[in-house]
Amino acid sequence: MDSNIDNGEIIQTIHAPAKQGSSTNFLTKFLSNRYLFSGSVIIIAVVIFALYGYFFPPYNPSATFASNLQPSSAHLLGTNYFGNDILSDFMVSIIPTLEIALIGAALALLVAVVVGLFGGYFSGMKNELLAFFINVFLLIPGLPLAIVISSGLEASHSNLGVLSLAIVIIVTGWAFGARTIRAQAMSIAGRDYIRFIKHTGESDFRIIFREVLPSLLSYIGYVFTNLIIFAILLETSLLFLGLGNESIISLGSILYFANNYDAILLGEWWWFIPPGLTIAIIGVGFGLMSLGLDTIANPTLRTYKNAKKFEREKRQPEKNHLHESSNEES
Amino acid sequence: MPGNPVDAVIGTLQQSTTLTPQQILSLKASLGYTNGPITTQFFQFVANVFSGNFGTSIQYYPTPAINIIMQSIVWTVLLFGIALILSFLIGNYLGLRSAHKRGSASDSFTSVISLFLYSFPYFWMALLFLFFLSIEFHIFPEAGAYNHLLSPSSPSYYLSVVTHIILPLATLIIASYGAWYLGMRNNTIATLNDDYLKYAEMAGLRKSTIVDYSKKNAILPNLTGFALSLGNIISGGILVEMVFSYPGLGFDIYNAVINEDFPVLETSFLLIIISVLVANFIMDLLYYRLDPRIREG
Repeated sequence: MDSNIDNGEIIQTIHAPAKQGSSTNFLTKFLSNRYLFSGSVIIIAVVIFALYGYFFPPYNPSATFASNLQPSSAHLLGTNYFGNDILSDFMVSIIPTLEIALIGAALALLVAVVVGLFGGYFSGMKNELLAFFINVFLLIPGLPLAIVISSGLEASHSNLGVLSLAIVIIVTGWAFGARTIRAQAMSIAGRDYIRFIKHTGESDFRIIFREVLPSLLSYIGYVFTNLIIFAILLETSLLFLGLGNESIISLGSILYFANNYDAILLGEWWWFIPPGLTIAIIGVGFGLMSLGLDTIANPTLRTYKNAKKFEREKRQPEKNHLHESSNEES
Repeated sequence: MPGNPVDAVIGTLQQSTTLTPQQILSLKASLGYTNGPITTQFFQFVANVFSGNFGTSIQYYPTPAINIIMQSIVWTVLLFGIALILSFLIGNYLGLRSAHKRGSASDSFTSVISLFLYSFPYFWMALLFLFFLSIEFHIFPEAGAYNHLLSPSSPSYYLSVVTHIILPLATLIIASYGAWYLGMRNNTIATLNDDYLKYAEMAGLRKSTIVDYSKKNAILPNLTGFALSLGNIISGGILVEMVFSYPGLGFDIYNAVINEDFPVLETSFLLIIISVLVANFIMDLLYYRLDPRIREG
């Protein structure tokens, strides 16, 4: 609890100048945060590759050739059991994978932000009840629950398709985000300036969205990136287990077919290594971004090197100022 | 879930013998399938649980569900228990080391590698291990938890248990230690900013003493996470057990979903939830002993 309060105070001081700062201020902040910067570069590179692959695959992914071909100049990653070109299949699948994960993570974030903000702002019975509810959801192991929900949804509403995966992501993912945001909202809501605003007669709704929400933005970003990682891993795991709709195009389904048609026993590494590696790279990209956002939210985490640089930058203007004043004198 | 698994059991039984309508009715009743609404069926299950009846498995009819789970739970406890403890120790040790050397090359290197491994899908890492270490180079066995040909008391049987567990264990540890590492690194850095450690540094205490002082406070949040992570390792374990055909609870859950074996599913979920709750309860009690500050409150 103590550390939360500390963080809250620091956030306040950080965000106060950011409100007045221009967009260049944000840009330098963004570029100087090496985790956030390198993570974004990885994600942008993956998205560009995925978009290119989605619109210009070497072959039509449903076109059939001889099956189980080795990699060659005509088929860079060979063909699979069904005779489809593996490279085309792989390139076309990245965008849908990201799409499912982003939809699921965004909806889970929405639930987490609403529950976290209101739960953290209002104290009393409702808050305690909500905390209990969040803890129950955190305790339930995610994947077993996801397996049951997705196979249940698949049976009763098989026309849901992608949406059923999104529902699974929301149900199993929201609690993590709600806990983080609730803890921060609670520490902000207890601050003197919020109490002061309350006394001026501002409505709770306005305080939550005008005062509490903006100071939690970096936390929300942190939660969002983590939810995306969670969503991608959950989505591909479920599809790998063969629990989603088989018609869903995703990196997870490629791995499902690779595993079920003995790619591993036959030594066809070109079938199952690229999709898994792509999932890992996407995970690393968002993971780096979340580390970067974490250092913005908790300035205490900044490394020594950055701290020294920060001090140097702080000293710089003073020197200039002295210099200017001496010029004026002369 | 699709269809009605009881009809499948009746179907297979009717292939060998013809069943009278009375027999079908009593069979349905014994499998817990009554015509009442689903809530009534659920409360019937809950009531049965309290009398020690977890229902009959549908895929291995007429074996009781609890027998199937009891067979596999030994392997799961062995695999998950060792994985949980080792990944906790490795992650916290590396995190502590990184935090004290923060900003250095070794810190950046360990951070990036841990993050990379942490982002790996469990099942894909399992596939990689399976492919490279057992199929291409035949270093480790491909599937199962022991060698079926050996009698369960000979020393070579225990050796086969060890060689079979290494790959699933390595997958679980490598894919899960990153969370501990990142948590411990952050906590230690936060703790190092505390006044008492700044004073210790200024007073010129040895580096090893400062590390010792910082770790006791930094590890507390990770200890709370220890019980919570049980759920996470169970999730990862299901996939890993499936890839390595390791005969544990995760493999049971997967087979039960595929074969619509509701009693086995219900019983394994019940056991998972109970074990997670008990672990959290024990951790809360331990926390009270570990952190003197909350005793006053």
